[in-house]
Amino acid sequence: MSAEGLRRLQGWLQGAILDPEGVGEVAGVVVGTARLPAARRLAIYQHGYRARLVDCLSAHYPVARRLLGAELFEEFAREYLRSRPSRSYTLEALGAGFADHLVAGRPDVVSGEREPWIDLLVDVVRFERAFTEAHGAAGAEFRDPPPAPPVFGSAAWGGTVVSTVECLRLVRAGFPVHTLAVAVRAGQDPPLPRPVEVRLVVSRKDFVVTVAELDEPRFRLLAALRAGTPLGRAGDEAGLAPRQTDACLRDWLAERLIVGLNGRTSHR
Amino acid sequence: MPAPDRLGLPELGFGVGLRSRHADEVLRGPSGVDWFEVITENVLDNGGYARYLLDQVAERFPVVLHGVSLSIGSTDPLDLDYLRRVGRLATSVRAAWVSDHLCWTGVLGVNTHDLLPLPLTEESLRHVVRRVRVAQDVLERPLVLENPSTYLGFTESTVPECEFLARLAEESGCGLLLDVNNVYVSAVNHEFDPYDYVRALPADRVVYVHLAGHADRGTHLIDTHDRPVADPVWDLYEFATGLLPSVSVLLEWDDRIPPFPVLTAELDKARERAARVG
Repeated sequence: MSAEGLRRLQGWLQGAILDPEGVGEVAGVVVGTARLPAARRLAIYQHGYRARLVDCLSAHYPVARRLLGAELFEEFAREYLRSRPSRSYTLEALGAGFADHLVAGRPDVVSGEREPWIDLLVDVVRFERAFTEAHGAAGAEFRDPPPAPPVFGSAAWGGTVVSTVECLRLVRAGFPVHTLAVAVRAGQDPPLPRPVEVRLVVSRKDFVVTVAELDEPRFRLLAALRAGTPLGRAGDEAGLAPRQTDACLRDWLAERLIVGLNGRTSHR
Repeated sequence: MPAPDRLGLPELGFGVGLRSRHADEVLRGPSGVDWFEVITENVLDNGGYARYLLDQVAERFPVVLHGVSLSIGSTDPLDLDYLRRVGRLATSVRAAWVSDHLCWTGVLGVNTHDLLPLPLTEESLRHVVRRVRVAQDVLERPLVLENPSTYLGFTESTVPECEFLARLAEESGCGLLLDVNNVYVSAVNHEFDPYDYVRALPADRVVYVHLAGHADRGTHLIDTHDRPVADPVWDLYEFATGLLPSVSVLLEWDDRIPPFPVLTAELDKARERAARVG
């Protein structure tokens, strides 16, 4: 078998696993036995692939699974895997594009009438992804105590640039997805929530993921700071008075949402 | 019988896979477990509890990194960034060694997250030997490769898997991880003699042994890692340890994970079985 032959064979097997319906002749490629014919041997890999990755997505999106029901969730998950097969060495990244996939395939956008339940599903998926990422990203647990804040009113104050903790995620949703998630994870069967805009700060403390709500100005402030906007300008653009901005800075330093000032961060 | 050289890598005793749900028992003190194996990809990019636990355990016990995404048999280019990260992680936690599987996980940039079988030919052997040498250069340490459980073989294969592994170890300088359960599962699925397979491996290259449970589907066995080790696998393990004195042993249990005492009881069985032939 040549190098090209090996490449062709691997492409064939991968294609047969990812798209079982497109597979052609199996017996000429795979050794079969009376007890276990070639096609059934291939089917073990085809089934194992789907089951393993759908299980992984189910584990990452328990609330979305509850919303949709197991059967419909698995159908959505299989379609996602078909259109966006994993390209990462880690299963942690498997669901990273699930929300975008759902948005791209919204049938209600084509018809021109948005279905609120799809909005809710997308919001839940985005929130659950943020939760997964906050769980695995670097947190403040490995860092030194927070640096002292700049002196309010000093010349340097307004130009201060902060570093937010790596596990921080900001989620804007049209439904209270966080309270829905708490109820579902507690094994309850809550009713579908009514639409209400929430701005959520997803982070982690002592290895436990935390979720807090912010009002609009403070959410915009934190988002701007996270993007690297200097403190004074970020506060102005968020519509906050300097004293309010300074209070936020101090709170977020204490809560370890902010872990560095002006490029100075330190690890334990 | 004196212990074989095994690439100069240490004899670690009897270990289990590290699971966060067992953290309290593991960190509390002596547990009867000599060392721990960690799935590389579960900690490679992790900055949370998984990495914290690994660091804590690595301060107290030897650890080994066991990967599932190296894809050493793929015709895609090796992921050198991944390999460098693995090497840095291994250095950081003072890993006793780094292992993965004789398999491929995908081509054209895709990762199926499955350990797919290779056609076992002279060409694929040369292909894997070349890639193992590169991987070992990047990792700056020997690579240890495991025989996978397989459910299909290719009509084009010409080299028995045990011979493929023996020649791979000889020509690339890599070590071997003998998964006794995988040998048994594949032996049933492909109808070969598992004892001949074990006998054919070079004892001085078998760095460690894996034990795990499997499921019987009637027409075939599936490597599930979700139950105790089956009796025929214990028998094969006992035979293998007779050929591999003092070899390091690792019990895998990755699904439906039981309480820690169940794991340590299973590990005690492994000790007893090894002692019978030691």
